[in-house]
Amino acid sequence: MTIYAENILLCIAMPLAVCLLFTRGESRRFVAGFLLGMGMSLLSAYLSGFISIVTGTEEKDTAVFLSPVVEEILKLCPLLLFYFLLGARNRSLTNIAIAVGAGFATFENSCYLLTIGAENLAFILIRGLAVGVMHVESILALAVWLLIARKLRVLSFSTMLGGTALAVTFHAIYNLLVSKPGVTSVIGYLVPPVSAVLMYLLYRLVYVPFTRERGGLLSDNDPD
Amino acid sequence: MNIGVFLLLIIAVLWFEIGYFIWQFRKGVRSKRMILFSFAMVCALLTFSYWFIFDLMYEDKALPFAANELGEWALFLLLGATLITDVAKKRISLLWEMAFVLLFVAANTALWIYWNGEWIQDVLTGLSISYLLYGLVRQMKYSGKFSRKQWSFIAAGAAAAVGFQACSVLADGTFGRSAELFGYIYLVLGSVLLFVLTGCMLRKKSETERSICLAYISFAWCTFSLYMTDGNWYFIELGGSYIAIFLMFLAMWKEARAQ
Repeated sequence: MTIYAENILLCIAMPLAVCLLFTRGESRRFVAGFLLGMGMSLLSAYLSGFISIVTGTEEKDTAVFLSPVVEEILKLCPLLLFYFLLGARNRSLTNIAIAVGAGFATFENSCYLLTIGAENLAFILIRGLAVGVMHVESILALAVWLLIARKLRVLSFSTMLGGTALAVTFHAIYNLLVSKPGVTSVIGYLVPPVSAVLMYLLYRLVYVPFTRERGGLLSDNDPD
Repeated sequence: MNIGVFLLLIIAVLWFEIGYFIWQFRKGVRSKRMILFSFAMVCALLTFSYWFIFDLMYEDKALPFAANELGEWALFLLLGATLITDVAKKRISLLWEMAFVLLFVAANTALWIYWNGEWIQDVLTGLSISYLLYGLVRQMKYSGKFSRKQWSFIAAGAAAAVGFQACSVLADGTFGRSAELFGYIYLVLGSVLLFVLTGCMLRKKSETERSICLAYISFAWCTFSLYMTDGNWYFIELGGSYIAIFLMFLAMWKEARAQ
């Protein structure tokens, strides 16, 4: 079935674009991040398709092995835009990361549902909890990494690439696990929610105590 | 030989290491180096997990260019950052050392390309390893714990490894095969020597910096050896690189205890 992804993007994006006119501050940044996330989702579909044709890779192999690389690099772009050009830091940056991830996952899920239909509720729930959570998690982890690297004064091209590769590998493991039906795909669907719980625990047990310390390593009272 | 067993072993070790770091952070350890190292270990965990899962699911398929290669590059970059973090703003002259490092990496990269033809991957691998070696050389120089003789010994050892490899790749017949065999034995013996030296240094109460540098040298040596070998020798060096990862962890452990 042919879907017109650009039209779907326009349909979802237009009300959000109007929202940008009537919001300020963090809310506006969140909406902008969401919109950029959706845009990057469309762009990554174009790019993956292009790479597939140029390299002669099969469609399934492209989805399993190449898409994670393309998608995570493109998701990083809005984050870098907000970080370097608009000066987003700490909580603001993590909020934008969540918005980009959510926008990306929402658009991808919309296209997916239009392609295969929405009759099977169990499948819809799996799709939402697995892919949806995974996209948010990977970009959020990347944002936290950027903040940590900055506080440690090691933020450079190489450390950014290192962080991006972490997100790519996490995404790729998920794609690999769900690429074949059976036990592996069940494990794959469990990876994002389980790792979300682990990330939350790490956030509460390690990150928050650091930020509470005045002048601590990850304090909001940034020395720069 | 089944690579899955090897990978499962290192995955278990990495989980233990990451758990230890989380425990240390909970206890209030604030070492920048340890935070970066723990990220590098998460990267290694994900990379090896990816490899393990791929091996399990697509046994009959050759591993294509995928996330695990990117993960390897990230591991080198993050390990490099681990070493650079404390000496990032220090003015250290590294002209000759870096000239040698770049020459060494360029020679290795050329041999990899000659061997497998995957020049984009090989060039990127070379660049990311250069960053790790840059961090290592910077840290070694800054610590001032290595004498001129030791620097020369390391350089000669690395040059000999490339020499053996070049002979085995470029020469034919008995000479080529002999050079290949000698090269493999030399690489394995080099790894063992470095493990012993690192182990001895780890046993000493002081010498934290030297322990870290030696553990990283072991890792770098094993990584280059891994890319230079095949067959059973490859598995031996793979095991060696796992030992080197554990030695790096022990060096970090030593640093945490010293704080």
